[in-house]
Amino acid sequence: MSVVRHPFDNTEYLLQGDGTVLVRDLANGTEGVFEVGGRHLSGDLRWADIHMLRWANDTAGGSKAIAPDVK
Amino acid sequence: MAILDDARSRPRSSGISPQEILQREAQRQEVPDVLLSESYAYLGSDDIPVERYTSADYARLEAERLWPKVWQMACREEEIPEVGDHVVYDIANYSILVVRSAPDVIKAYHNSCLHRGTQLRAEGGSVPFFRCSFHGWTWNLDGTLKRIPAQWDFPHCQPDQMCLPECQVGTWAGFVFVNMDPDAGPLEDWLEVLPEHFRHWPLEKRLKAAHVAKVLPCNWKVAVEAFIEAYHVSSTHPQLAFYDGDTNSQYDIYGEHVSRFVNILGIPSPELGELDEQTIAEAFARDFRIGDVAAVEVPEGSSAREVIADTMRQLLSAGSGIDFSKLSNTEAIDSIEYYLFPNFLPWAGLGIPIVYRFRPNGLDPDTSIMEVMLMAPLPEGLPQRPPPAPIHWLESDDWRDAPEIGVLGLALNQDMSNLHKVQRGLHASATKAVRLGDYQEIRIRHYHRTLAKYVGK
Repeated sequence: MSVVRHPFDNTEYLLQGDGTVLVRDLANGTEGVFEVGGRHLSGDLRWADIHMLRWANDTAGGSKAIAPDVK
Repeated sequence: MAILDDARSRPRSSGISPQEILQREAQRQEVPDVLLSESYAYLGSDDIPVERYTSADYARLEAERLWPKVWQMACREEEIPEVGDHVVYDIANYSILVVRSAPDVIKAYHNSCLHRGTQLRAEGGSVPFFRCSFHGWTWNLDGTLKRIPAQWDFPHCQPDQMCLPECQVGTWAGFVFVNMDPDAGPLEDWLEVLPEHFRHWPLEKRLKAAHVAKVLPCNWKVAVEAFIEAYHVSSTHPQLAFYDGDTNSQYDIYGEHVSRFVNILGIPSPELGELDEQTIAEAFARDFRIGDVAAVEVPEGSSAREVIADTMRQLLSAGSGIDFSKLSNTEAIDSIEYYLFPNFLPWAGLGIPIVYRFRPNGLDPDTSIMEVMLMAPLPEGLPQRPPPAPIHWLESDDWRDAPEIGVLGLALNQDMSNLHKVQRGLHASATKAVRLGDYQEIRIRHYHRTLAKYVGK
């Protein structure tokens, strides 16, 4: 599983095998688990960036580059 | 931090500007001249009335005063290559048949039988004539009447006065435009600077390689406005901050119908501050899926922007068989998006070859239709032009279910998560006003001025 780092919040987002996202605050070590849609499930960290939750989930897939091949 | 740029008499973000980057690159690359200038004007700071987005009355006024009066892109010429090929273009409560009536003639008709109003065609295809499915009234492809069954019962319908009512048709860059207003000026005037600018990126030499459509839970203008500013990028697409100069983007307005932004990639967001070049390049390669991230290396003295652009030039050349080794950095990787009032957004350059179109969904102010097209460069010398991609109506709420648009779908998923909240929030607004930034949201203000001229409020 790859970790996605938030550029602004000093947090990292890890998509877990059950489809939830583990969010870790690197400043104080607190963690929280969230649904991709943003609902908090567990942990002391109770807020996460909904767009980074989405990104952590979606970027784990196999999407290709935008530029299409025609040749 | 905002600083005042005296030369432009407007506040702008700190950090290097797109013009500073492009002018510098133009010293050693051929950067299109149209990208080496700015066209901004302060248009005031007035709020936009919320009713424009939420009111059924306003949507009806648009249907009466806007859509029947404006040029709008109906299809690609390549979608109707043979005589009899046609598409159905629906807009608000109107439906228009766009048909190739002769090898070099494209016509457009109101899609309504002159008998009792039945739609002549529910969807596109290829036909030798247009026959109403109800009672069989039939028209030739050139719009002249072919047959009225039991014509003895219609002595009041003289055949020479029973041609299908036409719309105006114009073509530009491989796109077919229609205008329902017989008194409207020519498409060429409507396009303003677009032909001059797009001579550098001739879209007529592209192939529509993907076409995805989806009904959105918001007004068509909410959707347009979500895609004509980069101010939202650092919040809605925070992962881009590593390599996107989001709040440093350039915004230009031209005439009454055209605007653009130039969003520089390969530099960090001004909101993020300084970042090492290797981190920038790796993040871009990872998110845009261009090559092996582990192999990305920014040599001493080079930059992430240069390395990324090199990679894109190679990928574009390999994908098309066209030599893009001389393509400028900005055409290879930057987001350069034009807007043509009211609903057509062609992107310039080659790295992000998008065309967006937004339409109201009937007369419903709370839903709309978004279309995403990818315009691939077409290799010269192909024995046969490949067929354009058919439209893929996306039923799910996950744009990854349209794999043909690649990683663009991931960014669209982030955009989509805002739109229904915008629409619901507008209905809930206590101020009944939308507030805009003077610079980064100038394109929104610009098109609302034109919109108000048509709608009257």
